[in-house]
Amino acid sequence: MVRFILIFVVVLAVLFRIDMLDEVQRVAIEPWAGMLAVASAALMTPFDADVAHYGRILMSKSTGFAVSIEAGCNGVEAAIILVAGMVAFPSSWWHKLVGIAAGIAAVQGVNLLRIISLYYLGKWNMSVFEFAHLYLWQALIMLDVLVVWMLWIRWIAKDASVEPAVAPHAA
Amino acid sequence: MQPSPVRRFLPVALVSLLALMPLWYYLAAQFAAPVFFIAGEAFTAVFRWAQGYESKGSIGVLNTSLKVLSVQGSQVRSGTLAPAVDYRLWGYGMVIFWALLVASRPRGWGLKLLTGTAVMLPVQAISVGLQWSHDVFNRAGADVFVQTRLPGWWADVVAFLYHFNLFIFAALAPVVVWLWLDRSFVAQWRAIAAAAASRKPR
Repeated sequence: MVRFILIFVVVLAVLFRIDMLDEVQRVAIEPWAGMLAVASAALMTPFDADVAHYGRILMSKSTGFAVSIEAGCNGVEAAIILVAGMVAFPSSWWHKLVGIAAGIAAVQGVNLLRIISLYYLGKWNMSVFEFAHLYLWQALIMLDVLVVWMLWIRWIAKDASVEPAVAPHAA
Repeated sequence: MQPSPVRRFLPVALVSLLALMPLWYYLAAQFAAPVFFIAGEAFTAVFRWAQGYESKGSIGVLNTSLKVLSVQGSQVRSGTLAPAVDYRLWGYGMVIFWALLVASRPRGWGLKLLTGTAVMLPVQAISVGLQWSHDVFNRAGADVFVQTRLPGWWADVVAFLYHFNLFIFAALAPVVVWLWLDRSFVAQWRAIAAAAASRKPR
């Protein structure tokens, strides 16, 4: 347990420090936010021709309403928590690599849902947008990370032929 | 056959989160009061320039003796710095904790709900304190920072901790508190870890 906590904290701190470096922000994080805008627009335009994207901005052509994908909204920090949890958990490197790849995909998938939903919520009502942006989606993304981590542990348990009771005991 | 605990856990946690979030939002002023008390008392005890604090609803203001100048047209006005913070920005972790506890329902969950809620308050006071610190040491400018008489690296440390808290800790803390209180989960988790570790790596 102590080993898990130590590795988790160290990996979390190191990855977050790397994430915060100006060079990393410029070379990796900002382009990533742009790719999220492209992916969001690609998912939305078949149903809504009013959506356009410029850099990391999603915009309504008719109203001019726009959302910008900033730090904290790109799913990178959520992915860092997940990666730290998987690296720290005692398991084979095969399990870790598969878990990290699938986990990051799952977190980013839900993050795309966040971006798209916030765009439409913002177009509809700014108060609801603020509530969803600042509180609700922050919590939902953390829940997503936790559930992905729990599913990953269950997968390890199945692979190790252990009773798959990973989650808290059923009432 | 019993449904998978993970399958049950996710929808219950999700519904709990959606149901409890508005409740917490409207009760935020009540939760904010003890959080501002802890953060405000800590600041006034540690920093001489922290003169006091006040709260109005979910907004907490730190009153300082640090002088600030503002230029308005041709006039220069002076005043004292008083950074304000909205508790709600840092308090949403409370709902994460409640939702996880409702979804896992460990033995004695009522008492654990109260204990965890009480533990979350000082944790959230750290978030409020970091917001005030960031406003004083980094956002208010070099003229204000000089008045604090702290070494330059202090501002860098505060900036790192503020961002770590903003992007990671505020959401992660309730999960840690929940894991600390739900030992049955940790016990199952350790059994799996032990079994996984005993296998030969591929």
